[in-house]
Amino acid sequence: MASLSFQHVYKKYDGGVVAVSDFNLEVADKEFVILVGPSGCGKSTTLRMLAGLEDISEGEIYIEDRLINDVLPKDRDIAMVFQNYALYPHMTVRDNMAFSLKLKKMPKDEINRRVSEAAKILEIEHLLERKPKALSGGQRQRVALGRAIVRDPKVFLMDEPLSNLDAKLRVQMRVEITKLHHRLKTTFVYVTHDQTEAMTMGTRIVVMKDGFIQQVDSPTELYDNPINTFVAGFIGMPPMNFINATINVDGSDVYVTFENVTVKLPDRYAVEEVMERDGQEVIFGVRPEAITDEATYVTEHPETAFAADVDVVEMLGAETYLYVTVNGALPLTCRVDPTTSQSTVGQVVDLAIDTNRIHLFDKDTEQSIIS
Amino acid sequence: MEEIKKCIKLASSILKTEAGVMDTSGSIIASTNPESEGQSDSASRAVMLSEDQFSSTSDKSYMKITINDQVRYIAYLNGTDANSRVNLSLLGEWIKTVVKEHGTDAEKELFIKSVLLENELVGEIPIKARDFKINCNEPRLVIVVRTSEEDGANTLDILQSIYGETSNAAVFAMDEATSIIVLNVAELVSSDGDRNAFVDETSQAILDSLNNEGITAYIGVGSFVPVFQQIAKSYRDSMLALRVGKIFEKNCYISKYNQLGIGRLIYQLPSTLCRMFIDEVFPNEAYRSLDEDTLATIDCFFENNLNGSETSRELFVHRNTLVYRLDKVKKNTGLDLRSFDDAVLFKMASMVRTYLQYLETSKDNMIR
Ligand SMILES: Nc1ncnc2c1ncn2[C@@H]1O[C@H](COP(=O)(O)OP(=O)(O)O)[C@@H](O)[C@H]1O
Ligand SMILES: [Mg+2]
Repeated sequence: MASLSFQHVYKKYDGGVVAVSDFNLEVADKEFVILVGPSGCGKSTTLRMLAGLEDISEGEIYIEDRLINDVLPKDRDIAMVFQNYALYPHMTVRDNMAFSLKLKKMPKDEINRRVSEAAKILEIEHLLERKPKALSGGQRQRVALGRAIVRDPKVFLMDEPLSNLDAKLRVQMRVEITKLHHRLKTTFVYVTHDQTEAMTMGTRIVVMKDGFIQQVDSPTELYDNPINTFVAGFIGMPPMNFINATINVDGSDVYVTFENVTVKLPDRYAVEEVMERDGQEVIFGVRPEAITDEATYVTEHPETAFAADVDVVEMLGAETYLYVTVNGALPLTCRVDPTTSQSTVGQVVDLAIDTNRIHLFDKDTEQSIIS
Repeated sequence: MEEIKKCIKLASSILKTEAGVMDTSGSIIASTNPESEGQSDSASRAVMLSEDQFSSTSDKSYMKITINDQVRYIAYLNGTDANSRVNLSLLGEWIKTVVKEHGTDAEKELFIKSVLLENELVGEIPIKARDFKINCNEPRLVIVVRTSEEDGANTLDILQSIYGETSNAAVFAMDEATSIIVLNVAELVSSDGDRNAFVDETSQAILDSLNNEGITAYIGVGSFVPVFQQIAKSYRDSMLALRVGKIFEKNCYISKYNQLGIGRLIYQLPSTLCRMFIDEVFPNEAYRSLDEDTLATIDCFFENNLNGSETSRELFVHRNTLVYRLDKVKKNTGLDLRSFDDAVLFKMASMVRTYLQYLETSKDNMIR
């Protein structure tokens, strides 16, 4: 059990790469935190600094209230699980799991107790005497998790543990790891570049880019209130539509205009931060599912409706994606309901935007204009 | 020597009188009474001259310890009664076993090391190997593990615990920062098809164990060789893999000899040839005009098989930004990376350039 605290942490590699910049984060005891971001954004480096595998160039990291910058890695009480779940081919499952405890010269009874307990949690008791060769992919993953569990660490670190698995096993293991966290009641720090994985597993997500934290929030907050265009675009699939638009203020009404379309914004946008931008360009963010082709909605919301040419219709069963072009110039992606959608390729279709779910970003800073 | 000291230390908690071991000249190398260590026992001459294994003076009993028909040490114990005699002979036999065992282990290690370093005559290897119960006709794989010097001893400990219980592996240190594993893979790898999986699994498991003990390690995996006589080749290959891997990839913790890719070729090229090639592909140092972002973009574009949409998704830049950056590369270097030929040329040239940079930086501290 342990809380974590990162305070102004930097990592500068020889050769000048600044892999992590001014990283500040508080992680509560027993929390499951996910670091997510495009490849090269500094996730692994952050994890490796926490584990003691890389020096901390600047700043401080605390586990509980203990400053660990100068604590030997082996004294940090951490267990790591990496991209490839690897087992020793020449050892039985039991020996694979017991290995790190034997290194610590732990008494045999205690080792046996811990291995049995971990095997029970992972439901692999019947596999203990087998060699890894005789295990299925999923079973191996569990054994590898078992190796970490027996250490009974204060913190679990996982660096893209699922990235080498096929899609089906990956989904299964996500659930498995989440369950494990509930059972063990220990702090987890989990790294992935896959936003879907982050969104489905995390209770709190740290979005990183170029070594900087962009936003730390719950999945719903990240989705509903991204603080900048990066987070807005990174989280959610298919990604948010970003539209160059102009703000127009008419009395107490606020409109955005793009191409030949004018959309009236709800009253909550009639605030100073928006009003003062009358006539200025902004980035108008609309998630695909906030655009609909449902006929009744469109007729009931003429103030947000517009026409577009349908280029592609992608039917995925539970949902349909429309790729449309507005005014022959602006491409948009819409996620529509397949049970009501009648749109076909080549057609001009009437669409409407659900303006309760739109975003405005500053054109230069790319930051959200109202929060 | 250390092992004798260990025995005597253990004995001191059991025996009630002073006991110890001296060399054949009478100099005491280990004693339950630390003050005696380093002193000389004048009775040793007489003991050596006596035909019997046991002899005694007025207050001490002595036992000659003979290994391979040669007296190597003398054990002694204070007291001359029958009981003392029994204790002394137990102590003597114990030390003899330990010395013998240790001697063969150390000699075996020395032998394997000298095979690795090609200091043995190939024809003699099988004969000597038989003495150490090494089966020459089984395939081997050498893995080298490089850490910081501080972590070296710990690393060796961990590797020895991984492989200590199997007779199929020899683990020892080459220097403070380098540990070597010579694996007999006869039972572990049954078909050629298993080889890559075995290498992936084993090297990753070793890295995990070391990382989990807080050790940053770099692992080089050599080639599979069919017989023990060829472990030197596997060792050379593992060292090469380690070096080549580190040159061409920044944070590459595991490099495998049979997965070196183009790096393998470039590494063999003479530097003059490399320079000519660079001057041809990037005249006027055109490469220098490309900034960090652009270079990272190119790497990612290559990793995604020149697929633009995948690349822009992974880097999280707009498709147009990617196009813009690629256009810039074309303008500055004349290479259009969207074309396969140009992409190959660029990839090769940037690797050659990395290699040249490596040569420059390592010129001063020539690593083997
Ligand atoms: N050992 C290293 N030496 C120099 N640069 C490195 C090293 N390891 C990583 N980097 C660089 O640091 C940045 C962050 O890398 P990393 O933490 O591995 O990112 P991520 O895990 O998010 O993909 C990248 O630009 C990478 O090239
Ligand atoms: Mg990473």
